[in-house]
Amino acid sequence: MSVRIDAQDPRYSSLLKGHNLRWPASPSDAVRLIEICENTSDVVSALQRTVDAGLRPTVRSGGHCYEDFVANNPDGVLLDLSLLTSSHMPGDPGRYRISTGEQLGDAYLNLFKRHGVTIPAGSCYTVGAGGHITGGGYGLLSRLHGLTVDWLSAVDIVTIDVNGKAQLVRASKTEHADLFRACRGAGGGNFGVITAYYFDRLPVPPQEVISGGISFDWARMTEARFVDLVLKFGDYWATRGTQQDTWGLFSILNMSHDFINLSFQFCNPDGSCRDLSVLDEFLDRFEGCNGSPEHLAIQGDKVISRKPSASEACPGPHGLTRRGWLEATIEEGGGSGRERAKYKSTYMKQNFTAAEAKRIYKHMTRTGERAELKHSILAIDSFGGAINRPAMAAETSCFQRSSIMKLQFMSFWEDPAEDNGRLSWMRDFYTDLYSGEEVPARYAGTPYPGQRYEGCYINYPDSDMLAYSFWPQLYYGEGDLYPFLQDVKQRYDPHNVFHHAMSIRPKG
Amino acid sequence: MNRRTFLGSIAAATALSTARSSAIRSRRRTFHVLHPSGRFLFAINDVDNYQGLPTGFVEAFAIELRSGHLALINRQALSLSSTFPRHCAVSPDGNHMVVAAYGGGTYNVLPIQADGALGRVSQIIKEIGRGADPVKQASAHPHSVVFHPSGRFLISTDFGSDRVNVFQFENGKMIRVLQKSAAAGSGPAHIAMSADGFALTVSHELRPLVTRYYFDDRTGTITEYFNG
Repeated sequence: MSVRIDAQDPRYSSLLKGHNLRWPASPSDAVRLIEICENTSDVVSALQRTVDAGLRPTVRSGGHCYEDFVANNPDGVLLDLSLLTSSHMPGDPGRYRISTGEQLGDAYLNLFKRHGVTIPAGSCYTVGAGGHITGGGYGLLSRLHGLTVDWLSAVDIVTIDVNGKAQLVRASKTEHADLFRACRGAGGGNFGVITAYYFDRLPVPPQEVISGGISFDWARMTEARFVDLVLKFGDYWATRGTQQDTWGLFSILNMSHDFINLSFQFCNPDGSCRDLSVLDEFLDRFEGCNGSPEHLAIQGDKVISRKPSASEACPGPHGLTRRGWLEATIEEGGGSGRERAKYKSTYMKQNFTAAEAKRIYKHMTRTGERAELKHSILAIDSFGGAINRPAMAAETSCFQRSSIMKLQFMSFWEDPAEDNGRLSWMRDFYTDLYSGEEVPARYAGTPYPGQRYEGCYINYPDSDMLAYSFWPQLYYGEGDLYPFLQDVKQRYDPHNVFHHAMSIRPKG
Repeated sequence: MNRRTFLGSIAAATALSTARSSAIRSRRRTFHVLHPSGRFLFAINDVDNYQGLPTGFVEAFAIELRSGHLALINRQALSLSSTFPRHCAVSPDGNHMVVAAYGGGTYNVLPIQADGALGRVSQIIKEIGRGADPVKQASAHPHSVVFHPSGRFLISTDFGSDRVNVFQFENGKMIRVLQKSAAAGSGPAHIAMSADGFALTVSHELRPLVTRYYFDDRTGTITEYFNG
């Protein structure tokens, strides 16, 4: 039996919101009922009740949806799967299961302790497996091991069939294969309620990793230095970073109005940290960028080597930590904060142009707004490597298999009075960044898939993109994928029970 | 066709011609209804996308009776997935509008404010169903919605699932009373209510058929007495 929490229940207000406190936008946008489901049969019965009552279901696992797709559900029903965490299958040792309510950090711990394997998923501990995996799921090990959906073997999903009945469906490459493909990258709030993920095999995590960071001081930053830094970073991923011996290196260039830092995690492709020449070579690129190892990018890091030695990377100026992979992953995993937030994303197939870097500099240094733009961040993630196996584009619903970097624009704040300023800063920044000569005029304002860009990431959804009639192509490409997803939608959710602002639209 | 609808269609003609001259741009207005006060006109826009969202929308206009001029009061989005709305009804007390969204298979209730403005959707009912025709009746398609003269009931047709529905209407909320199956594959469409509220006529679009029902205004039940 699910736990049913209505507006009179003292638990209601605490459970109404996810991590983005902007939603529900007003009390009238809130659900009338929260159904906490602890197992698949809870999901089947709660979903059936919801549909029979003519109400709209939305689904939450970790509560990290960036937009209003889940928590804004006026007078509807929120199916909360956060207690659906039973993943262990003692009788089936050759197979791994992750229940959708499990948080990534717990999934890492469980898989590691029981089986010595992992999923190449995100770095925030509290992100729920449910939305994260079905949207693609990438993280620090993805250059080495691909996306999490690349490893997925099957899903359990509760759909509403043509007669309005809740049905538990096991979808895999051999059963309901189209639905399975759709759930490998496009399953968020589109086709049904996923209750479990299955993996026939999973990669072994590195034995240890080296992590560290370099900070760059805004006070000493000039436009020329900034452009140089950004282009050096991008050039690595466009050139050297495509070679397989570098795939154990993952790095993020993070910048906001008050800091710029470069953080990284490294291991060799065999999961060891014996040969550090790749990392040395990467870090050497940033000599002369006025980097400062004293201000380490990742909180809690300790400098363990400041002396050059044959076995240690980055002599002198770089602060590094060598740790077991599990410790690094669990200790770094954050994501528990609850704030108001806004996000955007871009997949990049090529290095930045100097003009793009200048536009980033312009918006990062816009004067008169620094105070209110605290915690407004552009994170430039390395990408590619094992992700860019072209065959996986057709097996999954993540078509972006040619990118070398992935950008995440983020802003976090508390006071609703800042909403407009924050949202418009980011919208202006993004629109301006993609309105140069790099973007064809008809797609101005967006990283439309083409020579330079590969659109946006559906797990970093951005409702501003709905203003463009071609928004589905930003997230799913120009090819057959979106029509395919519309076809799956028609077959598995013929009544469009599962919908939100950016769900797969029924065919017109 | 009842009196309200008839007035609505006259006003609709006025609205469209006025719209051209006063530059009120129409997306795809398919249905209009007059407020009982005669001061406001409401229009339904039969679209599947409004401001980037997958839904239709409704408009409220103030009518200046002497000149026939219409002034837009506001536009209001329907609930998500309430696409291709094609019909609506205003409660006899003038306080609520109920929209039948053909495409999305939903009913939306919207409060009507004293100045004629349409408030945000206050209730959503999603219908699930299908009929014999695999293409035209692949899912529920609320086609028409009509208030009983008492204002205590709503009658609707569902073209997609071959049903005639009765809802109680209380304090601005729809409460389902019954779903009555109509002839399979017939596509119930238009409804005409007798002025005394004791009978209603449903015309079907997929088959040449008219069905008549008695309406019991104590229980909200309908009883078929003629079809042909």
